[in-house]
Amino acid sequence: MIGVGATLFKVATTVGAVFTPASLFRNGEQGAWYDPSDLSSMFQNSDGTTAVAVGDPVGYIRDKSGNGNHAIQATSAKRPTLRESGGLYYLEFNGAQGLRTASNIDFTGTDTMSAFLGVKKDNDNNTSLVEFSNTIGSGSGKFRFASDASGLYRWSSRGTVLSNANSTGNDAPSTNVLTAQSEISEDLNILRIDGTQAASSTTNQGDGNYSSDLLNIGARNNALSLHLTGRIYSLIIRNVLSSDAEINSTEAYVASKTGVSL
Amino acid sequence: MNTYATIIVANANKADAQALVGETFFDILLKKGLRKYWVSSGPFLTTEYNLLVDSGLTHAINTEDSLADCILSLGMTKVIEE
Repeated sequence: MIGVGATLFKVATTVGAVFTPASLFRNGEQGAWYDPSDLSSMFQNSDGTTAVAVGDPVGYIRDKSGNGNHAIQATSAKRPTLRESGGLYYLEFNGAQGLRTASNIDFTGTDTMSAFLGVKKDNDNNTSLVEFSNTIGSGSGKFRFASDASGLYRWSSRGTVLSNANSTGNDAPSTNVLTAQSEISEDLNILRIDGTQAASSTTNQGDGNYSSDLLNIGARNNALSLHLTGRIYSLIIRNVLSSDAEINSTEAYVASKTGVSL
Repeated sequence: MNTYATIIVANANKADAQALVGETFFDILLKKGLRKYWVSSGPFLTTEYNLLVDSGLTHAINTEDSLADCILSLGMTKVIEE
């Protein structure tokens, strides 16, 4: 006999589970997650000292993926500035800044890659937004997000041969969520913009896995050239192809950090 | 402390300016006609900024405008080096 109010079964329910990019790395995926909205993850100096407030230069941003791929800038004038507008936090690059990982990221274990970037570009100059390598043209196993004239966004993936997925028409100033998926052996190269596939390429990417190299953010070769004039709100990179559900969740997350409606 | 500035040096003063603050400064090339200049722009440490201001090596110092506006106002162009 079961009395009134007794419970036979307890049903586990998940209500409003909040997605966090940390879940993208729970299986040991290699990569990086940079989050300018988390002020505790940034410091003014490249050795990880002196906390930042809005308006301060950022010389160190911690990789929140757990992989230890922190990005730094040792030269003071090349440090981006932490800004906030409308509740959104971003790194401001004025055309002479850039960050680079303190050491190589080892992507040699796979030939697959996913990348998510929340970005605003203020001009359509030839710009290296994110580049795995000091220059993608040298060596194998590299990738890059770029922007250029004609409102172009580009995802490049290179095994031993370079493949570009280009989408034009996003004229500056433009704020976007960029997503890329690539796989060298399958010649897969897909660029999504604001939640929609915008370009793809089946060009032969050659052979091999991605390499072990430095990751540059906001410019090429430790802020030497191809500088971004604009903002970076969020950046996530992982060495696997992401599922549709992962893409949807991550794009929604980056969009919320970037102020883009998908 | 930081001082946000755009500082330009003539090609002839590049090495001396770098000797003051480091070789990773003034590595972005500008041109005005045939003349070459080098720029650093961003949050200088105030000690670095003061060193450069006091050095007499600078061609231009601008703490008000964006890098793009500063270059434009001086009639210079940024050289895109891939």
